[in-house]
Amino acid sequence: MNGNQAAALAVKLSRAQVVCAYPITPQTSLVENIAEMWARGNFPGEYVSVESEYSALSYLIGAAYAGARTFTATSSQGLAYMHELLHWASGARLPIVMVNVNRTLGAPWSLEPDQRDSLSQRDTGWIQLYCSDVQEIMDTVIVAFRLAEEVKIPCMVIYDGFSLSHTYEAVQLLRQEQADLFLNPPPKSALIHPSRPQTVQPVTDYRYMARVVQAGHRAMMQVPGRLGEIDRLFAEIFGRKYSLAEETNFGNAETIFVAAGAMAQTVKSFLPLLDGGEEKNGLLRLRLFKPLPEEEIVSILNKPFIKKLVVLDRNLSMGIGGVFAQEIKALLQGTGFRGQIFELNLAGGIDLTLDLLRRGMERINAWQDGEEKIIWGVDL
Amino acid sequence: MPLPGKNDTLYLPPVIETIPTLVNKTGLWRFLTPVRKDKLSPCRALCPLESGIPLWMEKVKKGNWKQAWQVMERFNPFPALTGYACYQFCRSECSRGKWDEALNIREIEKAVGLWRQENYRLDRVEKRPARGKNHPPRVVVIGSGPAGLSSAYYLSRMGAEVTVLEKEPAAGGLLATGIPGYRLPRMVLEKELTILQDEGIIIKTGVEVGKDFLLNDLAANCEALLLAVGAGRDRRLHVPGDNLPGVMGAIEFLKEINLSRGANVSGTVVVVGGGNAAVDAATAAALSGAEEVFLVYRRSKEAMPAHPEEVQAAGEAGVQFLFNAVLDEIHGSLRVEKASFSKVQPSQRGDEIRRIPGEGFTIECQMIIAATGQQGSLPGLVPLPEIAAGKDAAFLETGCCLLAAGDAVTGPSNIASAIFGGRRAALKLAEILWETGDLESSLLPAPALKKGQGLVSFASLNPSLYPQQRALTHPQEEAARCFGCGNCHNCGVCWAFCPDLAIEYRNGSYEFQLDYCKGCGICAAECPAGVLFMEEVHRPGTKINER
Repeated sequence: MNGNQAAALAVKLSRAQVVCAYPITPQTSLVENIAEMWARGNFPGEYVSVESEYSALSYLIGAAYAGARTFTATSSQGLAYMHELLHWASGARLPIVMVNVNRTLGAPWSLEPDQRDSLSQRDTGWIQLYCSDVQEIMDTVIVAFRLAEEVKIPCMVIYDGFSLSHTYEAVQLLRQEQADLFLNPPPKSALIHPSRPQTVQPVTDYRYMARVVQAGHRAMMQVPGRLGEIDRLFAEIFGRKYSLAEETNFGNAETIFVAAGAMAQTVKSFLPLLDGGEEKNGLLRLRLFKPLPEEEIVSILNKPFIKKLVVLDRNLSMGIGGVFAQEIKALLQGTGFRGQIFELNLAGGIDLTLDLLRRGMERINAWQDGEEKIIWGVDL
Repeated sequence: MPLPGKNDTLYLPPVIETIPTLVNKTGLWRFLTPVRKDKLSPCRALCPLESGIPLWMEKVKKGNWKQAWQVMERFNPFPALTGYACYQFCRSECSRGKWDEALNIREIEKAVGLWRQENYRLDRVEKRPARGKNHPPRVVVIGSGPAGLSSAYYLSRMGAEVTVLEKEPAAGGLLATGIPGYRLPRMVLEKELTILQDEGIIIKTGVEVGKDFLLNDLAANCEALLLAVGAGRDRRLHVPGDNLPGVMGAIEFLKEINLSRGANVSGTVVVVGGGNAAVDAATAAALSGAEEVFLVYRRSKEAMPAHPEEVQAAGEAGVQFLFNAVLDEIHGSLRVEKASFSKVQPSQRGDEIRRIPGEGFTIECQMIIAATGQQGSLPGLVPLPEIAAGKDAAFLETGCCLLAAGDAVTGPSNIASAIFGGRRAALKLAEILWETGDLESSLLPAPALKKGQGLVSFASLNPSLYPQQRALTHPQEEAARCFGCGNCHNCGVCWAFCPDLAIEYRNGSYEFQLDYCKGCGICAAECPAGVLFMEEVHRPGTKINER
């Protein structure tokens, strides 16, 4: 099945009670799959179509206040349109789960899987999980429900448009009884009810607000630890093991690629082809991006034999560089990491090919002091 | 206030107040307040008769022709006549026109009028004695035009014995002599006159005041005299040759044509003027055998006072228009032979006329019709200015009350204004003639649409989804398109549009909850009946409830 079908099935297995989405462009076929199951009577919850992404998230905020397990999905401009309510959902600590399929933000219009849509929502207080294959999409949606409800933080599951959303891969299906075992029953605590008219989240002053954001930060810092526990539980029940940051070929590799999403999977398959099996190159795959698991990443990367880090970004924060590169640099600051950090930037949604990666590495190997450390995919 | 939570708190539950948002009186933010005011619908405001169009339209919509006529009668006793000959002022601002196409009000009025003519039943009102007399008041109406007939109708319905005197051989005034038969079929007028006679009104034709009898003799034998003698004679052209045979006034010409005295129309006819009389005369000439008809007007086409509908009809009849030209001289030895004109600068109404030196033209013609206005005939009859102005009644030595109405008061106008003038005069006379006013009040225009009336069906709003309106053949379908403007009819559009839920449906009507209305004005913008207005209103201080 493709990524959208996998996600839709996982939403069903998670027994989401309210799914609300804007069903038209830039929506993907994910919601169509859910709507179809719902129309055939095969979906346990309610599906509601609304007139905009803004309304979709507003609707879910109300549903989540009322205690429902909620889900929505969107992509690119749709996510940007939700921006204001992303903050509201996280400020209210509502465990809403959302899938965002990476697609380039206009202008100009484009359909390529640039990551700027989700990364520009970095500071909205949502957990962000990046998936690198279709199996992981199915697993991550279920994990996201458990994680969001445990820490009371909304969670975004993110995967690349087309290369995951519309690409068919063999997937080991989850069974309903396994999912039921893995997930807690939906939270029963309704904060609001029609029989009790009341004001939710009225105007407060800075003192309360300061505590709200501080508590949100503290809870966010708990996420890596909690996700680690949930991953272990997941492995027990389903037999597949995920880690916060996945390392490949770290024996004594001099060059380490850092990537997230489908690109990581691509690089992984290219590793033996790049160096003819000499294991000179390794890969760090970022799965949990927001918050970045600081401890894990630093301990993985802070090795004396690592000479070069090459961070692959299919995104760009204009004026700074790739967002992942920026985050990695900040993490390694003051850790004594001695290697050089390069960026291979594929912003605009450039497809990563072996040829392109090879030419990028030639540039990096020939790099001299004073030259720009961003290698532009578009120039290769 | 102590800080909530601790430094290591992971979750603060959302702040929830046990009191609902109703405590938040957002109405305090308001600068403008919605106010509901019933007003005249645009059609009614423009109608010279102030006809309650939405009121009778509502009856037609339901197919209740009798009630439609009963409502109509309060405003206009001759819908068949206006249904043919009115210039439909009502239609120009019809709210429905902003949606798809203005309602064809005149056709529906005509339908009501023709229904009334076909279904007329004798319903004579019992005569009532006049104030201080033991017999009903005798009223003599001089002139049988629309103003005279309408006053005669209302006075008769209120219990007077009415006699109408007409100097022409046919009754109807301008209805018979001025308005061409192609605009008002003679059958319709005759049927209307028959009904009036059945009602007990005596109409005498071919009798002229001052020739056949004197005003004072009339006054000695009646309680009231109503002068509805019309606007009078055509104004002369005041150019050299304007007394030659072949030069005629428009009213005179139309009278000749309409009374079939055999006006000798042949050859080329030139009509001078730009009003309705000019256009009617030109069209009548074209339809009565003239080879060529020119209408010469001193200003541009846009400035013509004539109704555009008439101008178009004239064009279709073959009338040729010459604008921005004035008549200088009429030439001829025994009869009219030709006329010379000067070209003038294009001008709008009110501008001065300026000849362009050296530019002119000549038309060889056999007849010239002057349609440059009429001069009143009333001053010759009545010396009192307040009577002539139609504002007040005067009493003659005999105790007879004297009043004037119609074009005699207003100058040349139109059929609807004249009927209105007649009604107004009749009501004024009624106050003088009778002690009590029960019957009068039944004829006074009063009621507004009731709540819930005037709702437009969805089918009517979607002509592209549902069969097109067929106004001419199916007046009831056309009437269903009426929005019923002017009164709130509880459609609930304001309620549906209010983004603050500040309009509530209570006890059968929609009410503003001003505590929560922020004054955005969406309701007023959306109200299809146009009865919501945003007004700056002083609000007495409202206290914000303490939390």
